[in-house]
Amino acid sequence: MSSFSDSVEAVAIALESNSKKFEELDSVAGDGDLGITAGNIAKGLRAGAAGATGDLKADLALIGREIAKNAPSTFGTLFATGFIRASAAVTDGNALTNMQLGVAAAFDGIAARGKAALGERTLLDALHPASEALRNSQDLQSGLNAAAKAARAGATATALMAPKHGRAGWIGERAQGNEDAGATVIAVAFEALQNS
Amino acid sequence: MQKILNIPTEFVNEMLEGILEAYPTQLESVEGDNHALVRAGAPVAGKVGIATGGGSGHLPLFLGYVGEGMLDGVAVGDVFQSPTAEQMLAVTKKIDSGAGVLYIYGNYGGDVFNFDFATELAATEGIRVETVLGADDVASAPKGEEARRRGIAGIFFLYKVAGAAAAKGLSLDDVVTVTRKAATHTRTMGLALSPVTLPAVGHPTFEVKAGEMEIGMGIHGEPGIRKSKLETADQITEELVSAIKADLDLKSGDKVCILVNSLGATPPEELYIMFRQAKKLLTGYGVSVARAYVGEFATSLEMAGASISIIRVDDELLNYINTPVHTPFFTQA
Repeated sequence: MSSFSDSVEAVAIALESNSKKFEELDSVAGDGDLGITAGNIAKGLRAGAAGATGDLKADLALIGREIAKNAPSTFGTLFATGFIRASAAVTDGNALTNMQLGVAAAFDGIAARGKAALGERTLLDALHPASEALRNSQDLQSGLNAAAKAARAGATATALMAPKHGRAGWIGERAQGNEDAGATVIAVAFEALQNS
Repeated sequence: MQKILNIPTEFVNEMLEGILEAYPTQLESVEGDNHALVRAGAPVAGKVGIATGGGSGHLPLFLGYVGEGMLDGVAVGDVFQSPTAEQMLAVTKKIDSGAGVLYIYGNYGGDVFNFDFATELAATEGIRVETVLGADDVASAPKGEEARRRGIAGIFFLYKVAGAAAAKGLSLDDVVTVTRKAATHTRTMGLALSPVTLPAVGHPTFEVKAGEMEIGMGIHGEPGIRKSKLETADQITEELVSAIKADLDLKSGDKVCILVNSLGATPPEELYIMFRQAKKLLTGYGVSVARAYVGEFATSLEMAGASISIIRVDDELLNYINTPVHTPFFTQA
């Protein structure tokens, strides 16, 4: 894994280049704006990385604020929440420890703010397996490899889940048979991190 | 329903433009965004900042109470929609004097979601934010589940108390404590007689049949607890007041302030008919009315209907409620 800014840039590029895919998945029965949101999140990621100082806590918080500013939709807010919570959780420890703590805190924060649980066809169904895979890893690169694989499997599995959150804006009622768009965003993000 | 409109989707923007033009010495927008409004000259040095926010369509809520003695800032959403966390953060940064900020807003999912996030964002910038939710609507959840209740007109009393306490120079913790006390002792119950039409929708989004009323209907048309034929003013008032009395456990010797509020289309004449009966009932319970407010405080566009809010007061709360205020939509000498 390369520098912090390079990794953030890799995720931004991946979100942008997959925005059409997100839009299609979200349009199945959602409102179809997740492609736009993903592009806005990418802008926030870039703006945050541009102001990075090397202090991980401050840099993650800045990314969270920039995503909130650039992507004020519900999904964008949840995504930004993940970074703010990760910022609070990271320590002076090594990169693997910080990745484990940050992703676990992001999961907890998003679940709490979105008032959703696993199995309800949300981004959590990809983020949780990724967090678990990281937790069981011994080094950062193998952790990211395992997390990317687990996030993708988690996103694929959402195709069989019934949406539980009714008309709630950030989940929406989407037809079964396609994976959840938000969970797919998470899979794409971890795949980008793995290769960065 | 006929409306005076230009482009329906510009309803809120044009309203905000008009309000800013009407009160140029009292209100200003933050960084050119009219959805983020603060008291002219904010922040007030050394004072705890009080912020609120919520969807449009409820004037004088929420922005009408920004001013001397009440609120310092407000984030304004689209009709019945939460403002964004970013707008709330912009307001928060503008009104913080270093003494911290208190959020007071109604308990609705979208608002909680965005205000909680704004709180986290503010914390990353070193601003301490506390929250007291308005959750006064007795009809929206049963006793024992108060945390699920929606916030309606009773939030006026929270603004009044928090605003006066902050103006007096209390610390954030102390303003929170007294505002929580006010919330604990405030209850509201209302009824609707007609639905509303959102400008961008163009037709009513829910139904209240002619000749009927819905007790407990929310200010966005959320279902109430009972539909029936329209009853007399005295019968309606008795139902509202007795429900509040039971929920608030009002006892002989208690002292209260009362607010009789129009939901938009019901005229003040009818509100005074309700107040007359409410006062009679309270007196009959041995409860004294220390102060009364009758008029439009929290509306739902052109909905016909009314609500009654009651706050049980001690000397401390009453003293704050009696403090003068001066805002664009509300002045108390």
